[in-house]
Amino acid sequence: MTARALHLEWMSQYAEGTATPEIARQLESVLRDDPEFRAIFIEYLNVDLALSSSAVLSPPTIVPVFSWRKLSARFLPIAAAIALILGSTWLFPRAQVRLQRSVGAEFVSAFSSRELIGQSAELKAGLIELNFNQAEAVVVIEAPARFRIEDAKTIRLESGRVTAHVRDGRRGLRVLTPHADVHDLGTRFAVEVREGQRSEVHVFDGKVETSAPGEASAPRDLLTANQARRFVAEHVPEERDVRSGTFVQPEEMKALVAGMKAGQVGRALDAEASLKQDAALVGWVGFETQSGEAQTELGGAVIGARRVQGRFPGQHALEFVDRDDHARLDFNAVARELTLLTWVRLDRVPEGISSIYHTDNWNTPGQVHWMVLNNGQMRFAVFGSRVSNSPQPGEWPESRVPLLGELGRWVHLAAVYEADRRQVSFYANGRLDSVVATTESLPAVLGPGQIGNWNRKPAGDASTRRFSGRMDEFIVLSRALDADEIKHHFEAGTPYR
Amino acid sequence: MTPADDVRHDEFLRLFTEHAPAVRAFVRSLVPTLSDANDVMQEVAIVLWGKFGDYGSGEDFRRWAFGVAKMKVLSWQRDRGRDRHVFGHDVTELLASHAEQHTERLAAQRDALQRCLEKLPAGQRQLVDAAYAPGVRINELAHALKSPLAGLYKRLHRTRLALVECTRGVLAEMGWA
Repeated sequence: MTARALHLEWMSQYAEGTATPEIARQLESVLRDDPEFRAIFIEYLNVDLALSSSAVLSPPTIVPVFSWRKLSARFLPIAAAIALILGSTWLFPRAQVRLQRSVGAEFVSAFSSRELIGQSAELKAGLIELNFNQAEAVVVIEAPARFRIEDAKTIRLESGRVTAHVRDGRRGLRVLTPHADVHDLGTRFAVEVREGQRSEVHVFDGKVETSAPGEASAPRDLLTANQARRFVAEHVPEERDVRSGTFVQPEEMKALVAGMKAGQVGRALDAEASLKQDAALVGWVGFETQSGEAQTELGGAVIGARRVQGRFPGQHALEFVDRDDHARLDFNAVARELTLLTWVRLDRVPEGISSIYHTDNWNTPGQVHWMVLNNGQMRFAVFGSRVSNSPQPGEWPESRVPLLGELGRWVHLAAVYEADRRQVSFYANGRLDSVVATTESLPAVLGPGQIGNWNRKPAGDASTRRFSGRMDEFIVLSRALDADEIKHHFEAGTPYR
Repeated sequence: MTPADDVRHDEFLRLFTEHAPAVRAFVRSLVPTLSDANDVMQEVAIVLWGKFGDYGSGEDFRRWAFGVAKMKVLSWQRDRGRDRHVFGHDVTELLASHAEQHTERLAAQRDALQRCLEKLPAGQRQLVDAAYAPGVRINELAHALKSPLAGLYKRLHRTRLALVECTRGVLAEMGWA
């Protein structure tokens, strides 16, 4: 090998990040002494940069291209514009279908070029956002998923979830599933395919049509906003409640990308490790079991609920969809102070009450029920202790600010019960919502109970509680966390930035 | 924002849009990897906007931006002081000087790259597309292609060298020295 060839080899290793310190030193020496080689070196890096920058609008390895947290609110509009410029392509025309963003994406089989038409992929973890240029559609795909981009307007989903925002329905984005073809008519909708089981279509806004798979001239059924259908056989629809909150929306992607970039995964794990050392920890319900089955780390029985992606890529949450989905637990504790913490994504439920945690023996003193009402307020009840000084006697403690604005994204909820102080404190996303005084000084009794649906009575009974959405962690401590601790738990655990 | 802010905002964006590719190439020439360049470039953009109030309208924006970028690179190097992959101050200055003097040529090289990509043999073109596709890690690509990692790096290196050679030819045709 000639000296020049060797120097070029060093240059390559340096640019790829594989050079040893010794090679870097030798390369540095050549660059110091050889002006001609300096020119080649800079041109080589220029080519490397141009190739990388041309790939997509925002290459996943570098998005977000901006550290938002370093900027004051005054700078945000310009920051957004700069981000666009830094990520913009200057060399190639845009691909018809391209990868626009990703959040912790891990592929079993990845795309092989920047134009995605005709390519299949299997996403093991994380989220990706695709831009369908012709269809004027932005599509988020959540792992685990297997799919193929058939053409400029069509995605075939073998398994996984897709959320689509389509600006103009006349452009005709299609999502093909094993059970039905979904034709967009200008809308926001989601499709979920559980391989070998069923497909679901949920319409949040606008309209879509469904038809039997693979038959272009087949009759079509119209779905409008807030309608959903499940298909367990080819185009045999069952009416379902629309799941408004559980699908990751394109609007969330930037904040999720920024959260990953800001190292939120590590912060969350640190906070988890720290809280697990807390002497007052009664139970930490996580869903990271290795078996792949839906079960909790605590060993509680999971009925119906499914393990899905949690708020961080590769981590897990429990998803509750059907009325029977729930997890049974027994914390076997009695506490005069109690803190309950959880991360949830909530769908609106027609029955109006989303059950988060319910002990079974209601009607006996100290039993605990925690839920979100249909107006978006939390309720935390310890049986036997009502709101004191209420104009309407017999009320249970409720939070003040409705959570409606937090539906459709991860939200951190906390309730703190202090028997001796006779009060319940509510927190949403780390902020104190309200402190409600209660009548009695009863200890909380955490015996057999459920997270998720609380369906001990027949469906349709007014007291039946429904939980539709995802839950990622459920934590119980036998002490009252203060406002700073809860704020810290939220800030360390949020997937957003 | 006030109307005056709006005007400054527009002016900044116009200038930044025009010069960002050159600044980015300048930064890339001074740090080891693309990822490092992206990190530094974020910092540069923040400082440029933050200090845009100090920038005079008649001033050469690119020169000002290069100055900021060089400061940021040096600061980045200081932060990585014990990392022996980082070049010393003298070599950084030599590279910065060359990159700044040849900004126009480097921009022309980027423009010429499209023609050169079209001339690549199909296999090399596919390799470039695959290696520079978003989110692709070279070790995963090697695995997917059932190709030894070292061999893949070498093929990519040869392709990049071929592109440098080709762009030099295109630039010579266009009259660049």
